[in-house]
Amino acid sequence: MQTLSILEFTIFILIISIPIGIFGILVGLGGGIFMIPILTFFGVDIHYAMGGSLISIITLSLGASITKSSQQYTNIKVGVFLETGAAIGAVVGAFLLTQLPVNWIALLFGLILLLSAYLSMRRNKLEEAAAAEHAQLKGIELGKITKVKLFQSWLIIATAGVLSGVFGIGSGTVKVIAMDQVLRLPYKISTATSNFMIGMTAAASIGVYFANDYFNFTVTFPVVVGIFIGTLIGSKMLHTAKTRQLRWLLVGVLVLLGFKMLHRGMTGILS
Amino acid sequence: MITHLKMLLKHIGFYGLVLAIALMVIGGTFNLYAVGREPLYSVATFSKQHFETPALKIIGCGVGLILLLQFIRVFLVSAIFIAKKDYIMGGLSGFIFLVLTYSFVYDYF
Repeated sequence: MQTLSILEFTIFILIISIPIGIFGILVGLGGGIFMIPILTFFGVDIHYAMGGSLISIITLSLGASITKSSQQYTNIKVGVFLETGAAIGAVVGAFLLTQLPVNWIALLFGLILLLSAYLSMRRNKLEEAAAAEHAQLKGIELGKITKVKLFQSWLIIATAGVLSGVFGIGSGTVKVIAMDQVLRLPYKISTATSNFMIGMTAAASIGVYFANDYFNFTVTFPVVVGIFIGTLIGSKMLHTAKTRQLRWLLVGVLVLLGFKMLHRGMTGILS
Repeated sequence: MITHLKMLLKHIGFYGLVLAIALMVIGGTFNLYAVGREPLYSVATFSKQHFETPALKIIGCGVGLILLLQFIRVFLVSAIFIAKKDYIMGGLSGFIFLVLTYSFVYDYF
């Protein structure tokens, strides 16, 4: 990988970012959870990978917001309420990042990937049982949710915000789970609302990344452009996509990347 | 009023994002023309000298515009809630706007 030219790297990352963008829109992820390990495997510094990932997450979120299909499924009230926790968490997480050694970030990131895989697998089983419930469109109103459930989901989302700040991801997996399993929102509402939220969470931590110079625009360019193209394609597929099969694919990829990151963290390759 | 704000949100989001991506593509193409044949490790390792060429500055403008759009989006969501007289949600989205602003300006204090 050391002999790869910038042109080859750009073309490869541009191509690989498109399916990640499509996937992100369909399952409510920002794509950072894939982009960061992929970029680090090419030898990109993990801080640059995380900075680029955050920008791509905001692009995905903005791209989703301008498409009609995503607007139709987004529950803005639930999103704004939960985002207050995520935004605070993201700022706290970004400050924590500046204190963590690189190997520890890689190790923890590997664990987060495996946890995300487990949670996604669990949701696959739950979804089969609740398929009928997911047929409705706009989901439930904020006022109809019990205070305990609101508080539980707010705490989960705040934790997701911390993860987002530390690892430069959107934490879409955790957000979807909080809405899907705690608030019992229909799956497509959860993913679209997660897409609405991840951009704000990423923006909340990005200031700290800027202050510490964790950006490299040569790396950021193909990631953002690829994710944007993927977002536009994914939004068109939102009505018809079969998310169940996609999620099994997600689980497989997350497990693979999780073990790779754990290995890298433990062997100290990233340092 | 609400309809106007929603239209503003939609149009700024769409045209702004297209402009930002266009800037990134232009800057990225020039950057590739200049350094495309160099090995990846010359830029991929952590250094603070990555903002000096005009091409990278153009990509930087695209990135900045994306961030600005996110700020405008949160601001307009807050304005829409307030226009609907939903002051609690307007306040919450205003709070998010303040947190975003804080994360950008904390370094100056």
